Amino acid sequence: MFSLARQLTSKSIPELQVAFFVFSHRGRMAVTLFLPTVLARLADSGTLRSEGNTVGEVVANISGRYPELAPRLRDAQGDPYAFVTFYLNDEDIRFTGSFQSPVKDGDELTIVPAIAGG
Amino acid sequence: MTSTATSPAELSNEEIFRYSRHLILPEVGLEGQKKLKQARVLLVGVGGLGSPAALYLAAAGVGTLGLVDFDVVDATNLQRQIIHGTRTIGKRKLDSARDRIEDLNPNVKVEAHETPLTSRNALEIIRTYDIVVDGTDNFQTRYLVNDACVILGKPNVYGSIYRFEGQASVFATGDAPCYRCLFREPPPPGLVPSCAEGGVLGVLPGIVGTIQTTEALKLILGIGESLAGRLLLIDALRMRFRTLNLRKDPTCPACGTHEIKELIDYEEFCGVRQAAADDAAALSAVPEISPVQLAARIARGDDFDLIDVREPHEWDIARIPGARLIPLATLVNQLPTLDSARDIIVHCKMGGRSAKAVQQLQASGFRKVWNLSGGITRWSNDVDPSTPKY
Repeated sequence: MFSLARQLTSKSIPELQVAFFVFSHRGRMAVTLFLPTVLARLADSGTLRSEGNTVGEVVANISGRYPELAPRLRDAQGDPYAFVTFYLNDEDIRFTGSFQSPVKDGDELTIVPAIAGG
Repeated sequence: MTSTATSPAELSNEEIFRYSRHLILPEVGLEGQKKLKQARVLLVGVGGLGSPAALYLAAAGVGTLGLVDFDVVDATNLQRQIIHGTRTIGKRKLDSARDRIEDLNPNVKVEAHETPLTSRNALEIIRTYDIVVDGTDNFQTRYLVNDACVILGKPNVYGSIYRFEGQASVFATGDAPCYRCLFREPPPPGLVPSCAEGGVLGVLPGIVGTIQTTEALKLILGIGESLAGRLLLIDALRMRFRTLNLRKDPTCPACGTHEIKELIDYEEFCGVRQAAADDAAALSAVPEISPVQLAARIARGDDFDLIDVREPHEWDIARIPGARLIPLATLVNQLPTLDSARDIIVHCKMGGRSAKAVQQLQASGFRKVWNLSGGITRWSNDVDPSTPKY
């Protein structure tokens, strides 16, 4: 598909150039991640910037950058755990398509792991 | 005439005077205060969360407080468990809490349940109360409390803490979601450290426990907007409070499909029993040396390396003379600095982390490695009492 897009844009048709721009910038929605302290020590800080088109892509991006954090966010198959809940803005992603939930620029992803202290 | 002899539906003059700041609140008033007096609230755990909850519920005039606990007051509890005191160290927490509650408000009836909450007794205990306040410190009891509350239709006022952060909600009331809607399954044992392992800011359970108390009082009074259907996240370090929407999961086995009709084996569900067996097996497979034997080797001037695999902030609290600090997470990088020809003795606080270190060293070809059994804590007990315990 990339080569097709390049061929089309090489014809300098403005609409196609715009289309290619949009296509090539897919997966670049800027999302802010909020990690609790229990996980923040596995990354640089509790607030991270990431990008992607879906929650899964955003999490994959972060997982690639922080290998120690990765297994705490998703299982070996790349799926979410039952004891770590992801909130996209104020909503639990399990009700909006799980890791396939689309993200927008400026979205906030809050990671809520189960804790049991009392 | 004593105030406790008053009918549960009426307030004595002493009670009217005591609760005057409530009575002049239109949202509480005489009717509300009578509701509090007739209410029965069960606190599961009288620790970090249960301490402020019990104190404020008693002060507010909740007529009957059930307390479930089987622990004894320890000096390390007092940094946060404010219902107990230096004078009650070594006493049963239930007795310590009852004394304090009776002093704070003799109108409150305390019902003590000195037992762990289990699948066998939970329904029977919870059944007689209106509201449950979950102040437990482990996943298995949290799932037990949740399922029992869903089965019995009792509101479960939830709070949980770790280091500087907390969570609070109200589960299982009306159409509200339950704990399993939020976390379908517990994390594997050992993944999330307990407060005993990871530490907790002493005031944090004060913040979260008083939020739970506020929710319990609102439920009794029938006022305000409950946390049911919302999850409150508390970050004390950044001092941020955030509320997220909680949805009822139609596939939830407890409150959705109602597959869970009776209480299950929660230790099995949380994998606790298997993990304990694995830990015991791992520990027994590791060669050990006792603190007394270590002291004898030091006294003889034996040639060996003593490695401390705790964290630097623990090293600052106490250390064994002659030890070298290599935190467990950095051990793999420090292997080239260790000499496998020499005897190596590894220690930590209690012996758990150092057992893992010994296994790592053995896997890397080290043959002469021993674990200091009981760690620096037993060293303090058996060899050098001047070493601080923490």
